[in-house]
Amino acid sequence: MVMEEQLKPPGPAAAAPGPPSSAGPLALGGPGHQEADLAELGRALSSGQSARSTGPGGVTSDLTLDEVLLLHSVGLEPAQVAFGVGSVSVAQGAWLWSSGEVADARQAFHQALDEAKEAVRASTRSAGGIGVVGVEVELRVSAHRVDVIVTGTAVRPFTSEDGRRHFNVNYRSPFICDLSARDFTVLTGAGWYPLELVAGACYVHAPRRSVGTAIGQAAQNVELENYTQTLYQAREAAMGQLQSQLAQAGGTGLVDAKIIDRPVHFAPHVVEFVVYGTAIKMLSERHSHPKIAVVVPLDDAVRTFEATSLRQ
Amino acid sequence: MSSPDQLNWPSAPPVAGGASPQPTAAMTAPGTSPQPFGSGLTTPDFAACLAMGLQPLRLVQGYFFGQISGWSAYSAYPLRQYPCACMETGPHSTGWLGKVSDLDSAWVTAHQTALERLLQEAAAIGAHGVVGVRTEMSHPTSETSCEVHLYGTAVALAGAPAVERPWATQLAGHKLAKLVEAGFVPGWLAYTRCTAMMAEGCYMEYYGSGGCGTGYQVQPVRDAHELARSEAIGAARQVAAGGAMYDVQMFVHESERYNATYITCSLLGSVVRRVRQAMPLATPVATLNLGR
Repeated sequence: MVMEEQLKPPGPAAAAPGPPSSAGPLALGGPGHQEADLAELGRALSSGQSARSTGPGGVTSDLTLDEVLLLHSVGLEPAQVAFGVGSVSVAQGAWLWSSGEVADARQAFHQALDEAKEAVRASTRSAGGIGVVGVEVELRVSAHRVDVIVTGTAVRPFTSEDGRRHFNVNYRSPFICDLSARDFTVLTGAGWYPLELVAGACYVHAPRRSVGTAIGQAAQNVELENYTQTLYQAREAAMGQLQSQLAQAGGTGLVDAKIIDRPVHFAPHVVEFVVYGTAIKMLSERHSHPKIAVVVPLDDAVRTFEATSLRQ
Repeated sequence: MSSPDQLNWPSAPPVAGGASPQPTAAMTAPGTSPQPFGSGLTTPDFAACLAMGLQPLRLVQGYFFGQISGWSAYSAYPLRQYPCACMETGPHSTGWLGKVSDLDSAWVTAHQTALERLLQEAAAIGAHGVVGVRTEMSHPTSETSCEVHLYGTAVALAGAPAVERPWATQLAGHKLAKLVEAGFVPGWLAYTRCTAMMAEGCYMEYYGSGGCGTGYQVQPVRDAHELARSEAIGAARQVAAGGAMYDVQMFVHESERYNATYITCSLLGSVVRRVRQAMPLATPVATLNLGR
């Protein structure tokens, strides 16, 4: 887990990316943007034979081109698709209808997630990355095991030919965040930086109603308070774990939280509540509000003729 | 190879009831063809291509339809064994992990063949590249058949020397312009995959059935997922050596057959190469869209 002291604020060279120098390349949008000469870009396509190597192994990225360019604007570039897998056993009988929390499932979830995150970090380090963006968490709970698969794109600071590094926030351990490249760019532009993917999980048995209560409610439209209370209990416990992990990571806030709230498919009397998100910390002196330009698009959707309407 | 001005354009289809229309001034302007062309481009992509000096020539395709033998589809080469751990009397079976290499190589070869055919078709009409390439892969009849269909728009660069092998990319229009603006040029499309097979055996009956309690790492499951992903990503890194594979679409498919788990991870993306150093781009402008 990335601890608070591991994150060092950007040095003087890490000022917000400004307009490129006049001798530099063309820029896309923002201050200093020069309108691209498309004809010149077309001519650049014929210079492909002089391509330089970007390293011993190829770069892989599941980011879209727009996301790659956005990361580029804050001084980062993709390194490779990074993933980690955790698969942890759950004891027999853990899901039998009882009362209270299924502690084995919670323990297995956190252990599997930790294993997956550690594998992602190892993969990121080996690629020279400082963190992982766009992380997707795949969670599978079955009767006897919990599988967690974490996949994202490892990113590394962009270093220009003069050796200048363009992203100067120092992480001692790679960060992991489920922010898209767009969200990452907006967040860092406002002075906040991601620390760690934090999570909370709780599996709680919904208590049985008494036979008398069940019979008495059979013909009524009533709230099943046992389920309502179970969900509240699961949520409170999971959010408590999340809060604890957030503090442990040194974060001052959480963004992009995702919630999984459902009955367990093979044991519907158990409510599953999982929440995960990105712990963030502000490194600037104060939050800076992005200036937002208002755009009125003129390219309304075109009404197209649908041949299927002829058959109606 | 002919220069862009001497390209062998497809002949115009006959017009019923009269001669073919004469080209107008707009049609003969620089960047447009004196003859009809075919393309799969949207109108904005078409306009951006013309502005970049890319002349659309024709919709080109590469197609491959093949059979995958039952042996290839199901046979795995063992890599690792998991000895019995159930500590119980009775018959025991060994769990193992392997790669279904023949199946993977069949699909990769199918994709490469279709891509080569697409590029050959583009090269034959003097194209420098193919933009907006779309890929369709399916089992049209059963799991023992494979179909790969690539199609895109062949383009020629005005004034550029002829090339033996055109480039190909999934991008077109302004997205292609942005790629080049960031210092990259398109290379080709790459497809890699790996199928891992895990036969459970006694090991999984013990560790995967909860008999050992909570908190034990279920190694075969983890190994199978890691094998499929790491091999597919590793192959992609090899394919894109010296460059980068962007816009990767990663698919993971899992199925159960004959008491074994098959996990397939495949990656499809555009290989690009850097041709010039690009400094970090300027700060993007945040916008609020009032149109929605």
